[in-house]
Amino acid sequence: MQEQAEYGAGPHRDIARAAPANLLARPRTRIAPHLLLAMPAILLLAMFFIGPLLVNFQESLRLDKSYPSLGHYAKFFGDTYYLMVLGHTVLFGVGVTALCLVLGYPFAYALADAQGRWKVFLLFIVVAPLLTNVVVRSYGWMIVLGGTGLVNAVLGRLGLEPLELMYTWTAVTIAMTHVLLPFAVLSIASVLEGRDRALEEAALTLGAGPSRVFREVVFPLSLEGVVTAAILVFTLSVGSFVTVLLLGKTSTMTVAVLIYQQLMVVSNWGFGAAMGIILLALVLASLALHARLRARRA
Amino acid sequence: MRALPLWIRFYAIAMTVFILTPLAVVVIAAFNSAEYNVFPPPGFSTRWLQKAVTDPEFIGPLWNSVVLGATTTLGTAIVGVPAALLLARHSFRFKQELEAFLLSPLTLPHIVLATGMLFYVNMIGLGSNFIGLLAGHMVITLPYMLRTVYSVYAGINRDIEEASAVLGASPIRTFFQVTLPMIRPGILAGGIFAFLISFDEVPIALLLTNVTNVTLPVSILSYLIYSYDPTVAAISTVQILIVAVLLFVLDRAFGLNNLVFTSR
Amino acid sequence: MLRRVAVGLAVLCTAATTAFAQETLVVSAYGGIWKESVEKNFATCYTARTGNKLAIQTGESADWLNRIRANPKSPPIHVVTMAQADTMRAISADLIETIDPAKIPSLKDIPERFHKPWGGKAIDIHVGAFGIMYNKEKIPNPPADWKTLIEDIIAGKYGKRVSWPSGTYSWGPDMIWFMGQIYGGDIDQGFAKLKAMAPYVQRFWTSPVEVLDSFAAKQVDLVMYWDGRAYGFIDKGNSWAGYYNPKPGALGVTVAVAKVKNSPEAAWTYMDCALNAEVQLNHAKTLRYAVTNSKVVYPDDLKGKVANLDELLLLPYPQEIDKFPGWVERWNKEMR
Repeated sequence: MQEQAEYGAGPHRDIARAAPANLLARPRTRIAPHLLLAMPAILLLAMFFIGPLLVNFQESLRLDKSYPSLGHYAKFFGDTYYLMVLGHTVLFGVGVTALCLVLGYPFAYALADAQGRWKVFLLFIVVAPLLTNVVVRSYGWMIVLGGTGLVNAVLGRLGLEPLELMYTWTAVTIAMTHVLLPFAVLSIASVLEGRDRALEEAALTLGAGPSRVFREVVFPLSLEGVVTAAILVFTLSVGSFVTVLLLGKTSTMTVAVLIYQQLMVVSNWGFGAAMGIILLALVLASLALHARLRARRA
Repeated sequence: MRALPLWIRFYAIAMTVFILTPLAVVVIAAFNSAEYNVFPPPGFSTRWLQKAVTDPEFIGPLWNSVVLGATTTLGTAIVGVPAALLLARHSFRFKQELEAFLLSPLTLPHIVLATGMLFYVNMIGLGSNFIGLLAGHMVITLPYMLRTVYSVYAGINRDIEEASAVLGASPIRTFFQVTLPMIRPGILAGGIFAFLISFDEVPIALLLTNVTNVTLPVSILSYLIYSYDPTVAAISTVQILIVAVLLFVLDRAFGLNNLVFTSR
Repeated sequence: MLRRVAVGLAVLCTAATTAFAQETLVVSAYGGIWKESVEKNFATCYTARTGNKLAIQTGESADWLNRIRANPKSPPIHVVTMAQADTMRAISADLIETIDPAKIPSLKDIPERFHKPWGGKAIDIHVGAFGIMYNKEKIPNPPADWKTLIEDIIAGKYGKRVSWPSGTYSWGPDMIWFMGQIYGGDIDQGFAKLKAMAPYVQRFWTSPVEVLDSFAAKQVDLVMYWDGRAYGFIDKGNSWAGYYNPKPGALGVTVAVAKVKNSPEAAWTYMDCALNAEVQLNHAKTLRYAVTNSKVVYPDDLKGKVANLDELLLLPYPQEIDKFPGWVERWNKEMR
């Protein structure tokens, strides 16, 4: 059982047992008519996702005059430059995801448990980055992080050396974390919000300390929210390019920026589509791997 | 009601500063008196805000974006919530494959999807119109609704649902009276994501809008190619203001605690 | 009373039906002042001549190209005004109709160099120069020619306060070609100089807005930039800023109009309007770019600001466009 694997061992086993039996998608064995529930979603994607995907796939097999050709894929995998950019992209995605989870979790906790005006205020703060246009938001970062910007002004006051932050991985990572934080916070907060609080009360009554209650009761209950946050933040950070383009430079290259160049600057749809499909395959494979691992543990 | 630990309160304040600092620059830039972005501004003026809220180049598209965002959110909820319940509640063959399939739009960069979509909608004779645009936005926002509802449902106590069924309530009644209130935080989070993603989306809207339904981000993108005055900062400020006022009013009218998240 | 209402309704109905019957011409334009100029100048002329409406599709160049490519039988845009590279691509994809000079009377006033290179498919309406914008207080006497300027940058004379277009900017490949031209058409040497400049370039910019923001914030002193935009900025009370075209001339970039195949005949009227001397003068006043009609006489405040067309170096697209992907790839790999 998943819940045992998570926190079954230890003296507080009983508390864990008392957790809702359906902590993580516990399967029931009723089938047929229920499958219809997914029909609208399947139809939507079959019509408007698979169709465009096939168009892209076909285009990715077109190299100059020859078709079909695996030339674009061969170019990508045969060139260490592109493999390096792919590696950087994944590292960047993992870094932003980790930052968003670590920074976002306590904030989500605060949002879930806050009351009254505080809750409204925190909700507003969380969505605020998504309400500004990306170009002016990048301008905001230039003023904050730039050579004569706010951060360096503060450092100067403290008698410290100024930092060169703009147009580095640091700047890109900070700005990306900033704008993807809402996805992490709301994913986690919604799960924390819906949790059964009686369990914590029980654990506290039974004498467990607050940190132990968090580790053994609250955190495991919120795990699905953390997984959601990780999936959403990772895919968004790997797939967006405007922030990277405006706050980074030639060495802060990601696959999404390369795709942008191919489609918008040199009008080479084939190579752009091929890179898109490579990214899709990569992320889909890691999603499937994650699902497999989870299924095996359960 | 439990009091939040002190360190979490301090942490929330620190994060608030981190989140608001670059946005404060944008808001200040909106009140700039100069005709270009310069910081700190040489003087105070509301003319860019006035331009932002009166210029037909932005007002029409703003409305188009609101309509598109709301329709997308509604459509995604209708399509996504049942699928999420299926995945969370039932076990069947190829379940993991189905989950991966339904999440797959997350993994294709929007700009690639958009280009394929443009040629596809023309191939099937739809052309660049609202239906295609809506379908495109529903495709990219569906995974968000799916995941948030799924994860909330996975964490709730399902005995109540069973009790309702045992007591003889129809599945539909159980859904509306028991399940729906419990998964409300998930629908809300998914709905916020769906709306804001649709509201801010560029690649698909750039290719699938037509002269009658251009969205705000497309209008801004096109504006910024040849113009650089603080109007766009002013539009962002207006957006922030609208949401702040909306939250305030909703809270006054209904109490967001009850409206937004389940209160147990 | 009733009669008046009935008459009013009838008038409204006729107006509505005729408005529907008339075909609306869809043309492309960037937002902001560009769209303003199209509405104020081109559309006014078009409506006056045909009585028909004009609809403007905003967005950007690569997106317009894709739209007409996706639906060539019934194109959603009838007259495209795109970046040169995209116009060239549209022509090679056979999406553009060949011009019948009889249908565009203004064509006789347009010098050959602004329509000959397009092979009778498109006509340039205006020309932008890619020269140097600088902070006069920091750099009172910038070098008169490109080579000296580039050597000065490489020698660190301006510190790390230079901003140069990135090879991946929409006109980045054009800039790379131009660097080669400065050194006798040798792209390798162009790249070598760019690499040598890199330590002193604070930013290889990808968006003209971001670079203007950092120039206005005085974070950079020297920028390779567009003349029209630079004068637009200088004339808004920024006399500390200057612009010039170093010798032997700046990179000239044109914007051309072209009629998409299978679009209404009225498209020719719109193109003729866009090339008309009077309309072009007003267009130049709005955008501050040099226009192509030789009959245009600039007022004093524009003279000396719009580029002297003879000083510009134009990129021969048909020969060079296939090299763009290679240059961008090389930029990505070498300029790290």
